[in-house]
Amino acid sequence: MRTLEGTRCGILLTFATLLLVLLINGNAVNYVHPRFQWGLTLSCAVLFLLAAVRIGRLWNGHHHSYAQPQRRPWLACFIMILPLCFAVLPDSTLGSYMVEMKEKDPAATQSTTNTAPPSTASAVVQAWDPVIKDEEFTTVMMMLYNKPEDYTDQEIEYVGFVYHQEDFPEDSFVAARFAIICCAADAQVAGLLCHFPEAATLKKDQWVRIKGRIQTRMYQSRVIPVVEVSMVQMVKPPLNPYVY
Amino acid sequence: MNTFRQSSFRPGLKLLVLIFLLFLLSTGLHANIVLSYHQEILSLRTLFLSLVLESLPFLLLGSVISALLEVLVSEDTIARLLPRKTLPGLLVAALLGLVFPLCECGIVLIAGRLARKRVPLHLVTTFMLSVPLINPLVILSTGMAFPDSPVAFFRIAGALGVAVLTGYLIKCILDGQPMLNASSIQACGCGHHHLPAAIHGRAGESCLNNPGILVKMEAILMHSGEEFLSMGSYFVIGAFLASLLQVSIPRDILTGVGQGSSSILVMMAMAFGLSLCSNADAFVARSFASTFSSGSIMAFLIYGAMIDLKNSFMLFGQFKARYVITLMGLVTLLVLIYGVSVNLWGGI
Repeated sequence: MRTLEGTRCGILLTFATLLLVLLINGNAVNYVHPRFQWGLTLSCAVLFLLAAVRIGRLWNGHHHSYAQPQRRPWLACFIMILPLCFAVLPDSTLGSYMVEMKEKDPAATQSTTNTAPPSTASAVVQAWDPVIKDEEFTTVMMMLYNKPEDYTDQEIEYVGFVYHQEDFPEDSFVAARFAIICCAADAQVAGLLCHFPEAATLKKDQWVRIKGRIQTRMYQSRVIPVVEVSMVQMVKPPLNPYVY
Repeated sequence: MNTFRQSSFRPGLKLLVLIFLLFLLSTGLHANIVLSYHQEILSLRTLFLSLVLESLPFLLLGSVISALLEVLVSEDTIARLLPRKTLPGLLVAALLGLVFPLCECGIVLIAGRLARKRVPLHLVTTFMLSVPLINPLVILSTGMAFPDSPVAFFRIAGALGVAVLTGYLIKCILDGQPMLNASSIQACGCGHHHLPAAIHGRAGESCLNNPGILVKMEAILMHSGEEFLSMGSYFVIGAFLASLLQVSIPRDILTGVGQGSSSILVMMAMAFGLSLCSNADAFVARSFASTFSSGSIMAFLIYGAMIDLKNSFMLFGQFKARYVITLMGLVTLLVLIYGVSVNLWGGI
């Protein structure tokens, strides 16, 4: 009974520490939208409190579990340890592999990722800035896919990871980002098809800054924007891999 | 007595310290260990942890509310507040989400606690199904995802219909039968060994008769932890399976089946497997809007928020299998009918 109670305290404490670590090193954004930050902070505090009360009781020698035992208390403990085991693996984000699992048509997702109100969109149209910042990424992509013709010959520059697909032409790749609404489980792909003669030399999942001019092309019976790439620069993965 | 106590609480504390140290050690080390993990495992890890982290605050909130109900609110109080008539009762239960905007992870815990407090099962059912859908946050996000169409309205209307009807049918089918899991129906050990043991759940008393505020606080915190640990494990299984599905089954296998009459079922299966938060699923549904009929989009939006992989395990943890299976069957059937009728009506 005491071993069980001890394990349960350990689990609560470890969950709390996990949250603390993720909040301190900022890796929480790899998993959930930054607006969950306060929720995770609060959860961290509550978990420490829950653990403290239990440890206090254990220390005072209350040897019975507070409530009636569950049917298989040890099994429940082992299951709760599972996410903690995964948490110990190196930090990870989503990449090319998940693009393949999710959506094979780069054009299909674009019209969907916009979460910004239309007013922001019109603001961006008026002052086209070729350097796309992360904050405006989904809005810009939505605009580009809605009316590619309006942006022909505009300069564009942004950061994304390289994604190759079998049925793309040899000289093309997608510089992609994952757009997130709540957490990585609902991530959707966003990005532009890039025309670049040496595309095959780029490794998948390599983060690049691309620079070029927007052109249009027919793809699966619809017009999509493509980038005639003039420059590809290898960059370090951004601190926050996702856009919102 | 004293020595006995001293010697036997040690193993627990030792193990606790050991787990804690191991965890600290490994988080410190992993930055330096370079291992070539497979993409699959890393993606699985990202999705699994993101589902757990996303839901953790809501699971904790659910546990705390459940514990507050357990300790502070007596069955008598609840019985006095309950509406007498069936249909008005169901409607009130369905609209409670407008006041308590909770999402589906936390709601199962609260529903289970209410059922243990002798709230009739049909009210609990309607409450549990409607709150994740009929709440301001979800209405707002659905409206944002589909700005120029009445999808949000149809979602709310469908959710209201399905939740109330399911509650009513549950009353007809399972009325009066005990549907709580044997292990969760037991009185808690709140007697707290130096207090007179109040047996709650029977005498109509709340957990503690007349204790001080500190004892009450302790009871609330202990109950919250208990609830979090036991229901959390069910949640973790569901979240793990959901992320396993996402990394192992390419989505276009499903979307390929997309068209035709089976599309509603396909979208419901997808909603079940993806286990998205009801705040986020409208944006994901949008990516299917061009390839799927509006009836199947509607089914996706309603079904996923009511029943999905990550909360169905929690349901099995709280309620008897018979209730959970009846509930799932009814909801599946009703959502299917709603989806078909939206399609027949000519879409949105």
